[in-house]
Amino acid sequence: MSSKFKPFTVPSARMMPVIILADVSGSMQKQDKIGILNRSIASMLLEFTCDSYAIAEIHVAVITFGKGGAVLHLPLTPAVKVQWEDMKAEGTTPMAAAFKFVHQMIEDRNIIPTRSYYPNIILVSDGHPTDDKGKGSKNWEEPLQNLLNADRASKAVRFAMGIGNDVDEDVLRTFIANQNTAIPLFQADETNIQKFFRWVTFSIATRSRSADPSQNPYAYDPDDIEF
Amino acid sequence: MTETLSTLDNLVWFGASVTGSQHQKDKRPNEDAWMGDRHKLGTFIVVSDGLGSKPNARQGAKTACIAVKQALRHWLAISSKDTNHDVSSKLLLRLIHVLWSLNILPNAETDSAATCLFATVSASGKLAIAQLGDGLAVLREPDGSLHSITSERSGFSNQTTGLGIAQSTKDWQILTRPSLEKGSAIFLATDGIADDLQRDRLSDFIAMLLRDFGTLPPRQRWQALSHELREFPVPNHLDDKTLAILWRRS
Repeated sequence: MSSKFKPFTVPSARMMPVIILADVSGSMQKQDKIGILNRSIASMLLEFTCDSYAIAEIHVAVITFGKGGAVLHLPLTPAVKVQWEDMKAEGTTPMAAAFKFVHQMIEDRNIIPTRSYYPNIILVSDGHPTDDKGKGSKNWEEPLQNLLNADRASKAVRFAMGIGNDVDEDVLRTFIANQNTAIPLFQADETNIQKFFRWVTFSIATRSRSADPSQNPYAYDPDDIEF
Repeated sequence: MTETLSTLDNLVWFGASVTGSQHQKDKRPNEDAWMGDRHKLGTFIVVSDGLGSKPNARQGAKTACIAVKQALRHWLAISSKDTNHDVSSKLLLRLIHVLWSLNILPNAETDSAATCLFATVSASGKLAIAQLGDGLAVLREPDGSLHSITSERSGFSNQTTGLGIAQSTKDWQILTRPSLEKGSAIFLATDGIADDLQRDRLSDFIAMLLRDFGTLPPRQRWQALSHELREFPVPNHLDDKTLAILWRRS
């Protein structure tokens, strides 16, 4: 017997957004960090696509920051439908623009409806934030505080990875601070960028299978997870 | 114009509640509850959703229904005696909080938090609809227009307040009317249903419930509604699901 409720209900599962803020400044070309990052994201997408236990429907967006400012490389799309295109590394590190971009995206209920589960934001960077002219700057502080204090964006679960020795740990630690569950800063070199994404994938997939995917995750230690 | 006692004769109430797939899988009980009842002073429906992360959620929801029933009995009795004054609906809400807090003992309130949505029509015809926490509470007029008292959610799924959390009657939404027009209906639902309904089809949905379920014999209606809720057509639906209708037939 067909459902009498079907014409009146939403035809899709509730969404769990995953938004990646990817540093694509010129320095990401060194040691092929950008290549490894591209492969890591592609692998994460494949994991999400194959997760038959997920209750929430994982949607992924990628915002890059480099040449041209913050750019929507991949609009929020169901993971199963993403045709991944590699990012290119060029330009400076306008991280402030990326914080403004993700803030606007999360606050927009047309992009992320209220029936969605809490979003995840993943910040990846190998350098220091710069201003529009490429000079080192603290101009990220205000947009980051606005993001962390925003009505909806403040509920997001936040992960961060710093790559290499020249990374600005201050901004990354501020980004992941004050969450219900403490989430550690992942410090990587070009050899373990993929490990970070496996850890994040595991954390998100675990939450997407749980009874209440809006609950904050258990803080898995990346070193405790074997792959 | 004040309605007569005959208003109650045309009132129909019904509802259903089913355990969500996640609680079935975890072998946990339904943490939603609902109740509908009628006595000489009025008719009411109530739905409640025990908050999922709380250990005593099931009892919290059941106790919410009992608290509404008890509070309405006192409130409607006073209201019917003092017809010169409109007894404040805030008093009713405060009474619900007090009775819920008493009835939930010895359990901690914070372990038993539950949403609370109810509608009542007094013997004199007065209508009150109230909501604390998420879910949906809507009045459908005979012409199909809707008056929702549910404030638009600003955050994400499963962020809510309820009995055991709210500290003030300001957290409630309430609508009162001097009467419930013939052909009008009040629809209440917990978030397991409310979040997955298309808002632009809501009036048609309520009309369908009245047409296809409202006229069935009570037991058959409950079985048919429960079947629909168990077969809820939204992919990966998890939550317990509860709805209730209070309808003044034409």
